[in-house]
Amino acid sequence: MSVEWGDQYSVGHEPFDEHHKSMVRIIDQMTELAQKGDDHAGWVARIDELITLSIKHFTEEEAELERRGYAELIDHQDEHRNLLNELLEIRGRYSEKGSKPSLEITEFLANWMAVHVGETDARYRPLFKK
Amino acid sequence: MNDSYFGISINDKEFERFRDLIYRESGIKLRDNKKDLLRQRLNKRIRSLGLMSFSEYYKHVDEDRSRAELTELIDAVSTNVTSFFREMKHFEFLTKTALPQTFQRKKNGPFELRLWSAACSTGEEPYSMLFTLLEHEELTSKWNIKLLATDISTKVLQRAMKGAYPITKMDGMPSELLRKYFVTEGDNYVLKDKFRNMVNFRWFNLINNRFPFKHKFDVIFCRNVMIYFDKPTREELVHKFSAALAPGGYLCIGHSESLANTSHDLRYIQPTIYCKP
Ligand SMILES: C[S@@+](CC[C@H](N)C(=O)[O-])C[C@H]1O[C@@H](n2cnc3c(N)ncnc32)[C@H](O)[C@@H]1O
Ligand SMILES: [Fe+2]
Ligand SMILES: [Fe+2]
Repeated sequence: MSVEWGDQYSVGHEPFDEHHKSMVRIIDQMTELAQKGDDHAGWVARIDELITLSIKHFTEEEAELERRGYAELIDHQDEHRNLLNELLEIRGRYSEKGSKPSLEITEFLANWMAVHVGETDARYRPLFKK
Repeated sequence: MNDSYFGISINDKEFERFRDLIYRESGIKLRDNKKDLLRQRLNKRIRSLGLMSFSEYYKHVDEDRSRAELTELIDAVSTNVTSFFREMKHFEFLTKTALPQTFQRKKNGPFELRLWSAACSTGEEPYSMLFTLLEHEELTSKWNIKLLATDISTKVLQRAMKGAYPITKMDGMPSELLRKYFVTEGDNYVLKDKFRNMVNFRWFNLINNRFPFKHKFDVIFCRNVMIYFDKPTREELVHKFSAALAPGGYLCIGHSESLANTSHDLRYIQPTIYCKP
Protein backbone atom coordinates (compact mmCIF):
# COMPACT_ATOMS: atom_id res chain seq x y z
CA MET A 1 0.00 0.00 0.00
CA SER A 2 1.55 3.23 -1.04
CA VAL A 3 -0.02 6.55 -0.22
CA GLU A 4 -1.13 8.74 -3.09
CA TRP A 5 0.56 11.92 -1.98
CA GLY A 6 -1.72 14.60 -3.39
CA ASP A 7 -2.27 18.26 -2.58
CA GLN A 8 -4.63 17.40 0.25
CA TYR A 9 -1.50 16.56 2.22
CA SER A 10 -0.02 20.04 1.97
CA VAL A 11 0.35 21.68 5.38
CA GLY A 12 0.91 25.13 3.92
CA HIS A 13 4.60 25.28 4.84
CA GLU A 14 6.88 24.32 2.00
CA PRO A 15 9.90 22.92 3.84
CA PHE A 16 7.60 20.68 5.88
CA ASP A 17 5.79 19.53 2.75
CA GLU A 18 9.18 18.60 1.33
CA HIS A 19 10.10 16.65 4.46
CA HIS A 20 6.83 14.76 4.28
CA LYS A 21 7.39 13.90 0.64
CA SER A 22 10.90 12.63 1.35
CA MET A 23 9.62 10.48 4.20
CA VAL A 24 6.96 8.99 1.96
CA ARG A 25 9.55 8.37 -0.73
CA ILE A 26 11.67 6.35 1.70
CA ILE A 27 8.64 4.35 2.80
CA ASP A 28 7.81 3.61 -0.86
CA GLN A 29 11.35 2.34 -1.36
CA MET A 30 10.96 0.18 1.72
CA THR A 31 7.74 -1.23 0.30
CA GLU A 32 9.57 -2.20 -2.88
CA LEU A 33 12.30 -3.86 -0.87
CA ALA A 34 9.76 -5.76 1.19
CA GLN A 35 8.04 -6.99 -1.96
CA LYS A 36 11.31 -8.17 -3.48
CA GLY A 37 12.34 -9.91 -0.31
CA ASP A 38 15.88 -10.07 0.78
CA ASP A 39 18.03 -6.96 0.59
CA HIS A 40 18.71 -6.77 4.30
CA ALA A 41 21.40 -4.10 4.05
CA GLY A 42 19.28 -1.90 1.78
CA TRP A 43 16.31 -2.24 4.10
CA VAL A 44 18.30 -1.30 7.20
CA ALA A 45 19.83 1.67 5.36
CA ARG A 46 16.32 2.95 4.52
CA ILE A 47 15.21 2.61 8.12
CA ASP A 48 18.26 4.56 9.29
CA GLU A 49 17.56 7.21 6.71
CA LEU A 50 13.95 7.45 7.84
CA ILE A 51 14.97 7.76 11.49
CA THR A 52 17.42 10.57 10.71
CA LEU A 53 14.90 12.43 8.61
CA SER A 54 12.11 11.95 11.15
CA ILE A 55 14.21 13.37 13.94
CA LYS A 56 15.13 16.37 11.81
CA HIS A 57 11.56 16.93 10.68
CA PHE A 58 9.93 16.48 14.08
CA THR A 59 12.45 18.78 15.75
CA GLU A 60 11.92 21.54 13.20
CA GLU A 61 8.17 21.16 13.09
CA GLU A 62 7.86 21.22 16.88
CA ALA A 63 10.16 24.25 17.16
CA GLU A 64 8.11 26.15 14.61
CA LEU A 65 4.83 25.24 16.31
CA GLU A 66 6.23 26.26 19.67
CA ARG A 67 7.43 29.58 18.24
CA ARG A 68 3.90 30.23 17.04
CA GLY A 69 2.36 29.31 20.37
CA TYR A 70 0.47 26.32 19.00
CA ALA A 71 -2.05 25.10 21.60
CA GLU A 72 -1.93 21.38 20.76
CA LEU A 73 1.85 21.08 20.73
CA ILE A 74 2.18 18.53 23.53
CA ASP A 75 -0.28 16.08 22.02
CA HIS A 76 1.35 16.54 18.68
CA GLN A 77 4.75 15.78 20.20
CA ASP A 78 3.34 12.60 21.70
CA GLU A 79 2.53 11.25 18.25
CA HIS A 80 6.01 12.11 16.99
CA ARG A 81 7.76 10.51 19.93
CA ASN A 82 5.66 7.45 19.66
CA LEU A 83 6.54 6.96 16.02
CA LEU A 84 10.19 7.52 16.77
CA ASN A 85 10.08 4.84 19.44
CA GLU A 86 8.40 2.46 17.00
CA LEU A 87 11.09 3.17 14.42
CA LEU A 88 13.87 2.59 16.92
CA GLU A 89 12.27 -0.65 18.01
CA ILE A 90 11.90 -1.76 14.39
CA ARG A 91 15.54 -0.87 13.80
CA GLY A 92 16.49 -2.99 16.78
CA ARG A 93 14.75 -6.00 15.30
CA TYR A 94 16.96 -5.78 12.21
CA SER A 95 20.32 -5.28 13.90
CA GLU A 96 20.95 -8.95 13.22
CA LYS A 97 20.47 -10.63 9.90
CA GLY A 98 17.58 -12.88 10.87
CA SER A 99 14.40 -10.96 10.13
CA LYS A 100 13.09 -10.28 6.64
CA PRO A 101 11.78 -6.92 5.42
CA SER A 102 8.08 -6.81 6.19
CA LEU A 103 5.06 -5.36 4.45
CA GLU A 104 3.27 -5.09 7.77
CA ILE A 105 5.91 -2.54 8.77
CA THR A 106 5.74 -0.53 5.56
CA GLU A 107 1.94 -0.53 5.67
CA PHE A 108 2.06 0.71 9.25
CA LEU A 109 4.44 3.51 8.28
CA ALA A 110 2.49 4.52 5.18
CA ASN A 111 -0.72 4.62 7.18
CA TRP A 112 0.96 6.60 9.96
CA MET A 113 2.08 9.22 7.46
CA ALA A 114 -1.35 9.43 5.86
CA VAL A 115 -3.13 9.91 9.18
CA HIS A 116 -0.53 12.04 10.93
CA VAL A 117 0.10 14.43 8.05
CA GLY A 118 -3.45 14.28 6.66
CA GLU A 119 -5.17 14.81 10.02
CA THR A 120 -2.79 15.75 12.85
CA ASP A 121 -0.45 18.06 10.93
CA ALA A 122 -3.49 19.38 9.08
CA ARG A 123 -4.71 20.87 12.35
CA TYR A 124 -1.85 23.38 12.39
CA ARG A 125 -2.41 24.44 8.79
CA PRO A 126 -4.29 27.64 9.78
CA LEU A 127 -1.09 28.94 11.42
CA PHE A 128 0.53 29.19 8.01
CA LYS A 129 -2.42 30.72 6.15
CA LYS A 130 -1.23 33.84 4.44
CA MET B 1 12.09 33.11 34.22
CA ASN B 2 11.66 32.23 37.85
CA ASP B 3 9.51 29.19 38.54
CA SER B 4 7.64 30.93 41.33
CA TYR B 5 6.39 33.37 38.76
CA PHE B 6 3.96 30.60 37.84
CA GLY B 7 3.06 29.79 41.42
CA ILE B 8 3.88 26.54 43.21
CA SER B 9 6.81 24.72 41.66
CA ILE B 10 7.46 21.01 41.40
CA ASN B 11 10.88 19.42 41.79
CA ASP B 12 12.13 16.30 40.02
CA LYS B 13 11.55 14.07 43.01
CA GLU B 14 7.96 15.21 43.38
CA PHE B 15 7.37 14.74 39.67
CA GLU B 16 8.74 11.19 39.94
CA ARG B 17 6.31 10.35 42.73
CA PHE B 18 3.34 11.68 40.80
CA ARG B 19 4.52 9.91 37.72
CA ASP B 20 4.66 6.59 39.60
CA LEU B 21 1.24 7.12 41.12
CA ILE B 22 -0.37 7.99 37.80
CA TYR B 23 1.27 5.02 36.13
CA ARG B 24 0.08 2.65 38.84
CA GLU B 25 -3.47 3.90 38.72
CA SER B 26 -4.05 4.54 35.02
CA GLY B 27 -1.23 2.94 33.04
CA ILE B 28 -0.35 6.38 31.67
CA LYS B 29 3.40 6.89 31.40
CA LEU B 30 4.09 10.59 31.64
CA ARG B 31 7.11 11.64 29.66
CA ASP B 32 9.40 14.37 30.93
CA ASN B 33 7.68 16.86 28.66
CA LYS B 34 4.62 16.61 30.90
CA LYS B 35 6.28 18.09 33.97
CA ASP B 36 5.31 21.62 33.07
CA LEU B 37 1.83 20.55 32.17
CA LEU B 38 1.36 18.81 35.50
CA ARG B 39 2.62 21.88 37.33
CA GLN B 40 0.39 24.27 35.42
CA ARG B 41 -2.73 22.18 35.58
CA LEU B 42 -2.49 21.37 39.27
CA ASN B 43 -1.46 24.75 40.61
CA LYS B 44 -4.97 26.05 40.92
CA ARG B 45 -6.21 22.84 42.42
CA ILE B 46 -3.48 22.82 45.07
CA ARG B 47 -4.10 26.41 46.03
CA SER B 48 -7.84 25.96 46.18
CA LEU B 49 -7.27 23.14 48.65
CA GLY B 50 -5.22 25.54 50.76
CA LEU B 51 -2.05 23.47 50.27
CA MET B 52 1.44 24.84 49.77
CA SER B 53 3.40 22.30 47.78
CA PHE B 54 3.23 19.30 45.50
CA SER B 55 4.40 17.07 48.34
CA GLU B 56 1.47 18.15 50.46
CA TYR B 57 -0.83 17.55 47.54
CA TYR B 58 0.60 14.07 47.04
CA LYS B 59 -0.20 13.27 50.64
CA HIS B 60 -3.71 14.61 50.17
CA VAL B 61 -4.31 12.39 47.11
CA ASP B 62 -2.82 9.40 48.85
CA GLU B 63 -4.98 9.77 51.93
CA ASP B 64 -8.23 10.37 50.13
CA ARG B 65 -10.13 7.14 50.59
CA SER B 66 -12.90 8.13 48.22
CA ARG B 67 -10.30 8.32 45.43
CA ALA B 68 -12.06 11.41 44.16
CA GLU B 69 -8.83 13.38 44.28
CA LEU B 70 -7.09 10.73 42.27
CA THR B 71 -9.70 11.19 39.58
CA GLU B 72 -9.04 14.93 39.64
CA LEU B 73 -5.36 14.23 39.22
CA ILE B 74 -5.81 11.85 36.30
CA ASP B 75 -8.25 14.28 34.68
CA ALA B 76 -5.62 16.97 34.93
CA VAL B 77 -2.88 15.05 33.15
CA SER B 78 -4.70 12.98 30.57
CA THR B 79 -4.77 14.02 26.96
CA ASN B 80 -8.22 14.30 25.49
CA VAL B 81 -7.69 15.58 21.97
CA THR B 82 -10.14 13.97 19.59
CA SER B 83 -12.46 14.84 16.72
CA PHE B 84 -15.43 13.57 14.75
CA PHE B 85 -14.50 10.92 12.21
CA ARG B 86 -10.85 10.94 13.23
CA GLU B 87 -9.02 8.30 11.21
CA MET B 88 -11.77 8.13 8.64
CA LYS B 89 -10.54 4.80 7.37
CA HIS B 90 -11.99 3.04 10.40
CA PHE B 91 -15.48 4.34 9.72
CA GLU B 92 -15.22 3.25 6.10
CA PHE B 93 -14.08 -0.12 7.33
CA LEU B 94 -17.14 -0.31 9.55
CA THR B 95 -19.54 0.13 6.65
CA LYS B 96 -17.61 -1.77 4.02
CA THR B 97 -16.43 -4.75 6.04
CA ALA B 98 -17.19 -4.98 9.74
CA LEU B 99 -20.95 -4.52 9.50
CA PRO B 100 -21.59 -6.81 6.53
CA GLN B 101 -19.37 -9.48 8.14
CA THR B 102 -21.17 -9.17 11.44
CA PHE B 103 -24.60 -9.45 9.80
CA GLN B 104 -23.46 -12.53 8.00
CA ARG B 105 -22.05 -14.05 11.17
CA LYS B 106 -25.18 -13.30 13.20
CA LYS B 107 -27.71 -14.01 10.51
CA ASN B 108 -29.49 -16.43 12.82
CA GLY B 109 -29.52 -13.92 15.66
CA PRO B 110 -29.20 -12.44 18.15
CA PHE B 111 -29.89 -9.32 16.07
CA GLU B 112 -27.69 -7.12 18.17
CA LEU B 113 -24.69 -5.07 17.23
CA ARG B 114 -22.31 -4.58 20.12
CA LEU B 115 -19.74 -1.85 19.74
CA TRP B 116 -17.40 -0.31 22.28
CA SER B 117 -15.48 2.93 22.17
CA ALA B 118 -12.95 2.12 24.87
CA ALA B 119 -11.37 5.53 25.46
CA CYS B 120 -14.10 7.77 24.24
CA SER B 121 -12.87 11.14 25.54
CA THR B 122 -15.46 13.87 24.89
CA GLY B 123 -17.67 11.63 22.77
CA GLU B 124 -16.73 12.45 19.20
CA GLU B 125 -15.60 8.88 18.57
CA PRO B 126 -18.69 6.97 19.78
CA TYR B 127 -21.01 9.51 18.16
CA SER B 128 -19.13 9.11 14.87
CA MET B 129 -19.65 5.35 15.20
CA LEU B 130 -23.34 5.94 15.83
CA PHE B 131 -23.73 8.25 12.83
CA THR B 132 -21.99 5.68 10.67
CA LEU B 133 -24.46 3.01 11.75
CA LEU B 134 -27.49 5.24 11.36
CA GLU B 135 -26.36 6.53 7.98
CA HIS B 136 -26.58 2.96 6.76
CA GLU B 137 -30.07 2.33 7.93
CA GLU B 138 -30.68 0.02 5.03
CA LEU B 139 -28.19 -2.26 6.79
CA THR B 140 -28.83 -1.59 10.42
CA SER B 141 -32.55 -0.85 10.78
CA LYS B 142 -33.59 -4.24 12.03
CA TRP B 143 -30.63 -4.49 14.35
CA ASN B 144 -30.55 -3.51 17.95
CA ILE B 145 -27.58 -1.19 18.45
CA LYS B 146 -25.68 -1.50 21.72
CA LEU B 147 -23.01 1.15 21.80
CA LEU B 148 -20.86 1.41 24.91
CA ALA B 149 -18.46 4.32 25.45
CA THR B 150 -16.04 4.45 28.38
CA ASP B 151 -13.23 6.59 29.69
CA ILE B 152 -11.19 6.98 32.85
CA SER B 153 -11.75 10.73 33.04
CA THR B 154 -15.01 11.79 34.60
CA LYS B 155 -14.58 15.27 33.23
CA VAL B 156 -14.58 14.18 29.60
CA LEU B 157 -17.40 11.70 30.23
CA GLN B 158 -19.58 14.49 31.51
CA ARG B 159 -18.91 16.50 28.39
CA ALA B 160 -19.52 13.47 26.21
CA MET B 161 -22.90 12.88 27.82
CA LYS B 162 -23.89 16.49 27.25
CA GLY B 163 -22.98 16.15 23.60
CA ALA B 164 -22.40 19.88 23.11
CA TYR B 165 -19.68 20.96 20.69
CA PRO B 166 -18.59 24.51 19.81
CA ILE B 167 -19.84 25.50 16.39
CA THR B 168 -16.41 26.89 15.56
CA LYS B 169 -14.87 23.42 15.91
CA MET B 170 -17.26 21.63 13.59
CA ASP B 171 -16.00 22.86 10.21
CA GLY B 172 -15.26 19.37 8.99
CA MET B 173 -18.74 17.97 9.62
CA PRO B 174 -20.98 17.48 6.59
CA SER B 175 -23.98 19.79 6.87
CA GLU B 176 -26.49 16.94 6.38
CA LEU B 177 -25.15 15.25 9.48
CA LEU B 178 -25.28 18.48 11.46
CA ARG B 179 -28.88 19.04 10.45
CA LYS B 180 -29.95 15.53 11.16
CA TYR B 181 -28.29 14.87 14.50
CA PHE B 182 -27.80 18.25 16.17
CA VAL B 183 -29.70 21.30 17.29
CA THR B 184 -28.08 24.69 17.72
CA GLU B 185 -27.97 26.12 21.23
CA GLY B 186 -26.05 29.35 21.60
CA ASP B 187 -22.49 28.75 20.41
CA ASN B 188 -22.88 25.00 20.37
CA TYR B 189 -24.20 22.21 18.28
CA VAL B 190 -25.94 19.90 20.72
CA LEU B 191 -26.78 16.30 19.96
CA LYS B 192 -30.49 15.60 19.84
CA ASP B 193 -31.64 13.66 22.91
CA LYS B 194 -32.81 10.73 20.89
CA PHE B 195 -29.29 10.13 19.58
CA ARG B 196 -27.49 11.04 22.76
CA ASN B 197 -29.45 8.32 24.51
CA MET B 198 -28.30 5.71 22.06
CA VAL B 199 -24.80 5.72 23.52
CA ASN B 200 -24.18 4.25 26.97
CA PHE B 201 -21.44 6.19 28.71
CA ARG B 202 -19.63 4.57 31.63
CA TRP B 203 -16.56 5.23 33.70
CA PHE B 204 -14.03 2.50 33.08
CA ASN B 205 -10.32 2.05 33.68
CA LEU B 206 -8.68 0.00 30.94
CA ILE B 207 -6.01 -1.32 33.27
CA ASN B 208 -8.63 -3.11 35.36
CA ASN B 209 -7.63 -6.73 35.59
CA ARG B 210 -11.13 -7.87 34.93
CA PHE B 211 -13.37 -6.79 32.10
CA PRO B 212 -16.89 -7.18 33.48
CA PHE B 213 -18.79 -7.51 30.18
CA LYS B 214 -21.39 -10.24 29.89
CA HIS B 215 -21.59 -10.23 26.11
CA LYS B 216 -18.88 -10.27 23.49
CA PHE B 217 -18.28 -7.25 21.28
CA ASP B 218 -18.47 -7.21 17.51
CA VAL B 219 -16.29 -4.12 17.21
CA ILE B 220 -13.94 -2.41 19.65
CA PHE B 221 -12.35 0.96 19.00
CA CYS B 222 -9.40 1.69 21.27
CA ARG B 223 -7.59 4.53 19.65
CA ASN B 224 -4.89 6.93 20.70
CA VAL B 225 -4.67 5.83 24.28
CA MET B 226 -2.22 2.93 24.09
CA ILE B 227 0.45 5.40 23.02
CA TYR B 228 0.48 6.52 26.66
CA PHE B 229 0.97 2.98 27.95
CA ASP B 230 4.18 0.99 28.10
CA LYS B 231 4.61 -2.29 26.32
CA PRO B 232 3.58 -4.69 29.10
CA THR B 233 0.42 -2.64 29.71
CA ARG B 234 -0.41 -2.61 25.99
CA GLU B 235 0.15 -6.31 25.69
CA GLU B 236 -2.10 -7.12 28.61
CA LEU B 237 -4.78 -4.79 27.30
CA VAL B 238 -4.77 -6.39 23.86
CA HIS B 239 -5.22 -9.79 25.51
CA LYS B 240 -8.22 -8.48 27.41
CA PHE B 241 -9.70 -7.01 24.23
CA SER B 242 -9.17 -10.28 22.44
CA ALA B 243 -11.05 -12.10 25.20
CA ALA B 244 -13.87 -9.55 25.03
CA LEU B 245 -14.34 -9.88 21.25
CA ALA B 246 -16.68 -12.33 19.56
CA PRO B 247 -14.87 -14.62 17.11
CA GLY B 248 -14.88 -12.62 13.89
CA GLY B 249 -15.03 -9.34 15.83
CA TYR B 250 -12.72 -6.43 15.05
CA LEU B 251 -10.31 -4.28 17.02
CA CYS B 252 -9.37 -0.85 15.66
CA ILE B 253 -6.40 0.89 17.23
CA GLY B 254 -4.83 4.32 16.67
CA HIS B 255 -2.47 5.02 13.78
CA SER B 256 0.57 5.28 16.08
CA GLU B 257 -0.08 1.99 17.82
CA SER B 258 1.37 -0.91 15.86
CA LEU B 259 0.95 -4.35 17.40
CA ALA B 260 3.68 -5.73 15.18
CA ASN B 261 6.05 -6.26 18.06
CA THR B 262 3.43 -7.20 20.64
CA SER B 263 2.42 -10.78 21.27
CA HIS B 264 -1.28 -11.31 20.60
CA ASP B 265 -3.65 -13.82 19.04
CA LEU B 266 -5.46 -11.47 16.65
CA ARG B 267 -5.28 -11.66 12.89
CA TYR B 268 -3.80 -8.66 11.11
CA ILE B 269 -6.22 -7.25 8.51
CA GLN B 270 -4.60 -3.97 7.58
CA PRO B 271 -2.69 -1.29 9.48
CA THR B 272 -4.45 -0.63 12.82
CA ILE B 273 -7.23 -3.18 12.16
CA TYR B 274 -7.25 -6.66 13.67
CA CYS B 275 -9.73 -9.52 13.73
CA LYS B 276 -10.37 -12.09 16.43
CA PRO B 277 -10.02 -15.53 14.81
C1 LIG C 1 -6.34 11.16 23.10
S1 LIG C 1 -7.85 10.59 23.82
C2 LIG C 1 -8.43 9.53 22.53
C3 LIG C 1 -9.88 9.77 22.17
C4 LIG C 1 -10.40 8.95 20.99
N1 LIG C 1 -10.31 7.53 21.24
C5 LIG C 1 -9.67 9.31 19.73
O1 LIG C 1 -8.90 8.50 19.20
O2 LIG C 1 -9.85 10.42 19.22
C6 LIG C 1 -7.29 9.50 25.10
C7 LIG C 1 -8.33 9.16 26.15
O3 LIG C 1 -7.93 8.02 26.89
C8 LIG C 1 -8.37 8.14 28.22
N2 LIG C 1 -7.61 7.24 29.08
C9 LIG C 1 -6.33 7.35 29.49
N3 LIG C 1 -5.99 6.33 30.30
C10 LIG C 1 -7.08 5.53 30.40
C11 LIG C 1 -7.36 4.32 31.11
N4 LIG C 1 -6.44 3.72 31.88
N5 LIG C 1 -8.61 3.80 30.99
C12 LIG C 1 -9.55 4.40 30.21
N6 LIG C 1 -9.34 5.53 29.52
C13 LIG C 1 -8.12 6.10 29.62
C14 LIG C 1 -8.15 9.62 28.50
O4 LIG C 1 -8.95 10.07 29.58
C15 LIG C 1 -8.54 10.27 27.16
O5 LIG C 1 -9.88 10.68 27.15
FE1 LIG D 1 3.72 16.40 12.91
FE1 LIG E 1 4.92 16.67 9.97
